[in-house]
Amino acid sequence: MRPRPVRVLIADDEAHIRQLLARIIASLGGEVVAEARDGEEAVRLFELTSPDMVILDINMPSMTGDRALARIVALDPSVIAIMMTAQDAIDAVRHCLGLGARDYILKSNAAEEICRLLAEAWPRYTGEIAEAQAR
Amino acid sequence: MSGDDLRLFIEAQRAGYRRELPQRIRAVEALCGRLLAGDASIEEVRLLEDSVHRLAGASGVFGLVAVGAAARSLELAIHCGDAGAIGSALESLKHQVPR
Repeated sequence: MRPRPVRVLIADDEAHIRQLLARIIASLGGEVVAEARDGEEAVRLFELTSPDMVILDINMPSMTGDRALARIVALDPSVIAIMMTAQDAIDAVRHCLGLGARDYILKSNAAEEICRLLAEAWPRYTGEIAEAQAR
Repeated sequence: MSGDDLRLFIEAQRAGYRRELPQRIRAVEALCGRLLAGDASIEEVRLLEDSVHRLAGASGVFGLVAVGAAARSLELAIHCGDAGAIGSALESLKHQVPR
């Protein structure tokens, strides 16, 4: 049986970044089930769609990505969370890794590099998700 | 979606972002003007902070590293409330926009 596509929620306050990430996820065979413009919307859409993976910008209006992450991990500790942030927010990244984020991507990377980083990590993510589903 | 399709999409996104940039920076300039004149409402200050933060975050992704760095300087200047630094960071940001 063919495994179902990895279901992904994207949260970023910049529409161009959301669109870029959605295309990258689609190119990897994933399915973007929701896009949020801030942390509050991310948590609400997470509850509605129960994705396998979330990609969260750390600095978003209304609720920051780290606060949204804490809420999301409390709802589903097995979720694969990837944080996106500016290059000078390493303390915030550490905080998010402590909260349960799996990886982070710096926004100082060009689009092609973000694509390469996600493609490189994708088999690991899909393997973990398949394992969790089999349990 | 093939690798070529994704590459074309990235190029189109980059071009779209560059096209929008002058208008976004004009909006930031107008808000900075109101902030420096002491006329900005709380909502306008928040909008300015969000707009500059988005420029700082997204510009590098779309290959405009110098724009991102200038926007980051402006973001810090606004955060510190340093009128002189806001003015010079804004000039630097305007200067970095590709023509």
